[in-house]
Amino acid sequence: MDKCRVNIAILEPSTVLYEGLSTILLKTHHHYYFFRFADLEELAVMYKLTPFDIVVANPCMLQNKQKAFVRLKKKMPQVYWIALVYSFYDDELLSLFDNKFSITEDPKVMLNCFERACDSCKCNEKPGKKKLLSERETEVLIALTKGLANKEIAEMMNISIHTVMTHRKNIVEKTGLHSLPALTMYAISKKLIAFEPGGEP
Amino acid sequence: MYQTHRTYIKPDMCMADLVIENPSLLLLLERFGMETALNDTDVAQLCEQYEVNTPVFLLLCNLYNGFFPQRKDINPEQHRLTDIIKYIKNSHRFYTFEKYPQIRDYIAQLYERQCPEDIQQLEIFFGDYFEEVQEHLRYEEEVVFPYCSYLLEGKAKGEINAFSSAEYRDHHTDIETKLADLKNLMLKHLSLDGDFILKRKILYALMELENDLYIHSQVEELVLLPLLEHLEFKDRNG
Repeated sequence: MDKCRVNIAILEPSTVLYEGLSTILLKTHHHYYFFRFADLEELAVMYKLTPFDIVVANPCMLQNKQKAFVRLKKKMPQVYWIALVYSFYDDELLSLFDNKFSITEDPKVMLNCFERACDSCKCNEKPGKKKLLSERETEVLIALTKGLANKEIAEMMNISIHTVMTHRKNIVEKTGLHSLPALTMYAISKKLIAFEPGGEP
Repeated sequence: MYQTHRTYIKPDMCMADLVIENPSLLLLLERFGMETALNDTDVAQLCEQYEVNTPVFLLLCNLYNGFFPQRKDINPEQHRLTDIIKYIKNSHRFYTFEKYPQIRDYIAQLYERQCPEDIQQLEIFFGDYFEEVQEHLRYEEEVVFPYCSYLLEGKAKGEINAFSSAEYRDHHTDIETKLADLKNLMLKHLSLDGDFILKRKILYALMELENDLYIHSQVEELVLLPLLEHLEFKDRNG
């Protein structure tokens, strides 16, 4: 069984290298999915649809585009960036990546690089975290199931809308549930709210 | 959904071997009506036998194996739109008449046995969700497919973008999010004492559905939409 699904975006102009890279990676036990892109812009567009865990990029694709690269990195905070190096690049450019490997290295070195990336990727982080909702988060959840808007919750709890949003983000992260009906069911099953037959919010 | 190693599929590969490697491909065969014994038939022969456009079939097979096409790989000279639509239409049939009723039945069985409070909510949630999915499927059948036929017949002049691709993607995201919620509820939060077998059946069905819906939306976003854009472009420029 696969441990988790890892989405890998690859920015590499050479098809030979792309095919070689994906073949080596597919031999591991990870559930890797590959997406190949022609440039940074395409990658940025697709990221909205499919959040990537790892981006492997040939630094030549980013030369003279460092500003755009830094901006994109900020927009994609969970992504682990790996440089695929086969010629000389200056350290300043390479230092923008989280890790790098050269194509002349042993494939094992490259696989280690990906293992490390997977360790830091979000799906492996979760199990260690505390999952139970805090008291405040529970209050926000109950208010949500009653159909209150963010602004009303903020006023009721005497906190800022920003804080409400943070609580909501944590609730989604901890329960894995996004939609209101699902959160309502969660609240009922945990006996946080009473069940009202036919009373769909 | 079960495989960890995937092959990039080419026309001369033996179809039976590929199915053994990735059983989900059976769903793909079913959608093109490829129902006879596979013997040692390779992919290209199978396509010829059933008159399915080989490039389309290969593209879909590879999607099932986790290889996503790029925009520039899609072109109407090579990829036959009618086969894509056939695939999508038959997937709809699979969701509407097989997968959703199956899950609904399981939930109904749960309802008979369990403390009904949670399960009643689950039924409502699933019912609403299914309604939403059907709405999306109807939208495709009533808006998208007829638009495709117009384009193919060259009758779509002036009728630019009868539907918006952004809206299309939003539908998909919404459907996927709710399904993931349902899976998380079942797996993490609802305690179904003594009904482990039923729980496993529901989860398997949900995961199979999730996997197939994901491929379905990728086919529409990565293959259908670019194809339509090509055709629209050709249409506008004579």
